[in-house]
Amino acid sequence: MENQMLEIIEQQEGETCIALLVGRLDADTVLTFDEWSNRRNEGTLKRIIIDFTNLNYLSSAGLRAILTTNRHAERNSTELVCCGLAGMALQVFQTAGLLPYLTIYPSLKEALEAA
Amino acid sequence: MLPALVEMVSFRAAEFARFSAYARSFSKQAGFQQEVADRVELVVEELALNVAHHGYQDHPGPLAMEIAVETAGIRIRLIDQAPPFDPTAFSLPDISYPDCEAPRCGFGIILIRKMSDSIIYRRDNGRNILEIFIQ
Repeated sequence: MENQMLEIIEQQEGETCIALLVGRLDADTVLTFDEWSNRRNEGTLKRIIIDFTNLNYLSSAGLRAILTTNRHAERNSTELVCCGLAGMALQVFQTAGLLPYLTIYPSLKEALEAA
Repeated sequence: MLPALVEMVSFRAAEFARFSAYARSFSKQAGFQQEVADRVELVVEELALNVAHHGYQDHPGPLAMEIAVETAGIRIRLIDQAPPFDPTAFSLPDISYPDCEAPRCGFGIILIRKMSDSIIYRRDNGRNILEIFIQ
C-alpha cells in the first residue's frame, strides 16, 4: 500500500540540512511540510537540500509550499537545493513551468558535491 | 458512459481526498499505468479543491463524481451546484516567480488544463458539469 502521508527525514551536516521527503506532498499533508519549513527557516543554515527521491505524489499545494520555502530561504541568505526529482514530482514541476526557478541536481550525491 | 461512482454529498475541502483516492484506485484497478493514475488523481484533487474553495467558498455543498473507462482512457465527470465556473474559459495564468507566494497563484488550473487530454464544461439547470478525458 502506498504511503498516504508525508514523512520528512532530516539530517544535518554542519550548516546544511538534508530533508528526505517520503510519501505525498498535497493539500492533505502540506501543513506537515509548512511546519518543517518554518522551523528550518528560523535558523542560520547555509543550505537546505530537499530530496524528492521518495516522494510519490505532488500537487499544486505542494508546489506552492516548496516555492514559499525557497523564497523564505532567499530572504535568510540560505541556499535551497532540490534533488532526486523524478516521475510524477518532476512532471508536475515541468508542467507548471517552475524548473527554471529552482536549483536542481539529479541526485543527493551531486547536490552535496556541488556545495 | 456507465458511471462507476456517483456521490452527492455535503462536500468540504477536507474531504477532497475521498474523490482523488477513489479516482486513483479506479484507474489502477482498470489497468492503467501509474503515470495515468497519477494524472487522474491530480486532476480530481485540483478540481475538487477548486469547487470547495472557490465554488462553495469553503462552505459545504454537493459534489458528484462519475468515472468510467473508455477505449483509450478514463472519463471523469464532476458535477457541482456552485456559481458558474468554467475553467476552460480563460487564458492560463501567467506565473511569474515573484507572485508564487500568493495563496492562490493559479498552479491548480495550470495542472488541470495541461494534465488533461480534453476538458468540456457546460452549465445545466444550475449545475456546473465538467467532463475530463485522460489517456
